[in-house]
Amino acid sequence: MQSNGENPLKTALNLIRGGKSKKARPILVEFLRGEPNNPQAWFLLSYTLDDPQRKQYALLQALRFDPQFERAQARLQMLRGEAGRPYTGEISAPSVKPPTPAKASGRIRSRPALFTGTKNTAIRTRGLTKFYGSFQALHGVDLDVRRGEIFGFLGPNGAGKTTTIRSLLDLIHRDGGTVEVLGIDPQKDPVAVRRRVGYMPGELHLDNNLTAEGLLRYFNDLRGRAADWSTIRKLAERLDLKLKQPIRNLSHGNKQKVGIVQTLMHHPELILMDEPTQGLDPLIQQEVLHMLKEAQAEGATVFFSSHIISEVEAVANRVGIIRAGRMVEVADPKSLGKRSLHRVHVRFKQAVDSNKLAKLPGVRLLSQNNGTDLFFQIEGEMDGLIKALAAYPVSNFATERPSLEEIFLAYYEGK
Amino acid sequence: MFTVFKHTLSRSRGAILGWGVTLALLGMLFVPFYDSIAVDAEAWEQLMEVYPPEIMAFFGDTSFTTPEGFLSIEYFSYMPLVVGVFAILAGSGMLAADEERGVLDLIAAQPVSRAGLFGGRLFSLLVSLIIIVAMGYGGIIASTTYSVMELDAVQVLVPFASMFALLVFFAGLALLLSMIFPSRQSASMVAGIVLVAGFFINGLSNLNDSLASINRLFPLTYYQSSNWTEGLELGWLLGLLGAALFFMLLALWRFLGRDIRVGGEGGWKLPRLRLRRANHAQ
Repeated sequence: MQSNGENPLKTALNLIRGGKSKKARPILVEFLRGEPNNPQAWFLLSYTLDDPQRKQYALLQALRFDPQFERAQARLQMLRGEAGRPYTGEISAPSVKPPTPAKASGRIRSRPALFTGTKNTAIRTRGLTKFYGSFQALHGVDLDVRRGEIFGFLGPNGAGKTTTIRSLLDLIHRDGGTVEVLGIDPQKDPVAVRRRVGYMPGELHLDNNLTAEGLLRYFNDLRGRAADWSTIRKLAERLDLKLKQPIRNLSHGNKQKVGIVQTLMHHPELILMDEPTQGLDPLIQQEVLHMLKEAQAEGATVFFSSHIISEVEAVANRVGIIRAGRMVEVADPKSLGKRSLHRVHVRFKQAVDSNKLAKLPGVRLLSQNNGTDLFFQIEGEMDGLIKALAAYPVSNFATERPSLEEIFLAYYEGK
Repeated sequence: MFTVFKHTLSRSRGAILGWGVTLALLGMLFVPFYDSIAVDAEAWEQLMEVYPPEIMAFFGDTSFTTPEGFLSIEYFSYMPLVVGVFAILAGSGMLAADEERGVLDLIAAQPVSRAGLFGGRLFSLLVSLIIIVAMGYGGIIASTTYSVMELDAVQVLVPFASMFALLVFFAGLALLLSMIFPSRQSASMVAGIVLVAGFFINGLSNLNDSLASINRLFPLTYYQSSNWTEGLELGWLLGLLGAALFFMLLALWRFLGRDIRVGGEGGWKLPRLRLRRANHAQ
């Protein structure tokens, strides 16, 4: 959003100096989408933000790309003195690429964390990078999950959700960046991390040679019998799971239940779940979400990935969106749902020229049927379309709520 | 690690019983045949002289009519081919089988170190091999109670100890290959080729001296199937076990450094041949 072809940073600076810092913010955000490594842009952005935490984050980003940036250092010190506590991690700006992407070599090149202090943080990643051969799956993912929150992790297929989750447990070795789970680097002490974490993989495969009970006993033994059998039985009962059944005879949904029981049975501090409710009937889905809320009430942190907007809205305190290996946004799930993206079905009493309507700002014609049944996707305000429709004989008008996946695919497509 | 060992051994009890009982029964079935040979040893010796040398080469320089020679030819000579299959499958599948089924992911997410997981399963594999070989030994010794064959129970331990070392070698080799190759199947195949090729080269080298130098590269050369009455070749035994240990340590190193796959993902991509078409010249 350059103004009159000027350097956007200069434009933003002038706005800030003129007391119009709010107007400078979208200019800087747009600029940072294209040049996320620019320390000056981050520095200026800190002047446009109200929340002290976000200000500190922006300054830390500036220092990340220019550690000698004295004005940023000074401003950060001043802010920390005012705030009384360091930044604990909320992102509202685009994620930043690491300055030198690391090629996979089997060796870790970790960057030092810019700040420490993870008492309030369950998961912290900075510049998390992962290559599969020559394909870069994660491009410097920055993630902060606070203790005691339920964090939804969303992204289209192949975005890097599973790679991120598995990196947190060192099931796959990261190629760059830092990771802290409950204050521990999982690469340095994976057993300590796993002892305190309950994990449910997205692709759940169980040993078919065991019964559900046999498998849970094995896992409980590996956990030093941390789980109480009465808890296991209660969880199984709530999920309507028969423990004596051989796993080979269980349906996909019932295997999923075994996965959920083994995740929660030892009351972990951190619960990592990759698509926890897939394959479950709606009643059991609700029960699982209820269990997650109960776990949160007991002080656990929940980090789960999902495609289901209702699930995320129902339980998540915050939602992080990842796309093509980059963190795109972290936001309140309710605000995502309300984002201006609508699907509209309009039925006309007679055939109309759809091209006129499709040319309206923010309107995209998805499909039509004989010129009378038109499906639109609208980004932004619906007012323009509604006013245009007033000129036509409309027999029916229905709107549809988009899924979160559709929201972020449409929102971030091509950006 | 002990939990992993206990669980893996329990899971393997079917295979252990199956192979161990088979080995024991084979011995118990073959040993009584010696009774008919012992009755007319001279005739059997004459018969063996008529046998083509190409076949006799695989049995080594031993007499069919002595208890030791009979066992060497009828039992110990081909046992590695039989039990070697188990060793190779067990070694290659120790981790790769669960990894390819997607099961290893969740196990590795439990609070057990990779080294502990590796060690527990490896220890279980070694104990399995010990039990199987011990059952084979037990079958041979038990069969002498109803046969005229007289054996020194201590002396007959030698070929079994040598067999065990050979099996551990192949298990270790298959394990290492499973950590290198993209699939358990390819690892088993290569280890199997080494086993079978070694068997044939070992036999044929008795006919063709030019194969002697190649034969030294194959582990079956150091397996005491036929000269065990002369005592244990400790160097051979330790060599096989040492090589196995080397393979296992390398396999551990690989396992510690690799990503745990989910299912059959990953693999080697062979380069595609690109043929230029004549009409795409320039």
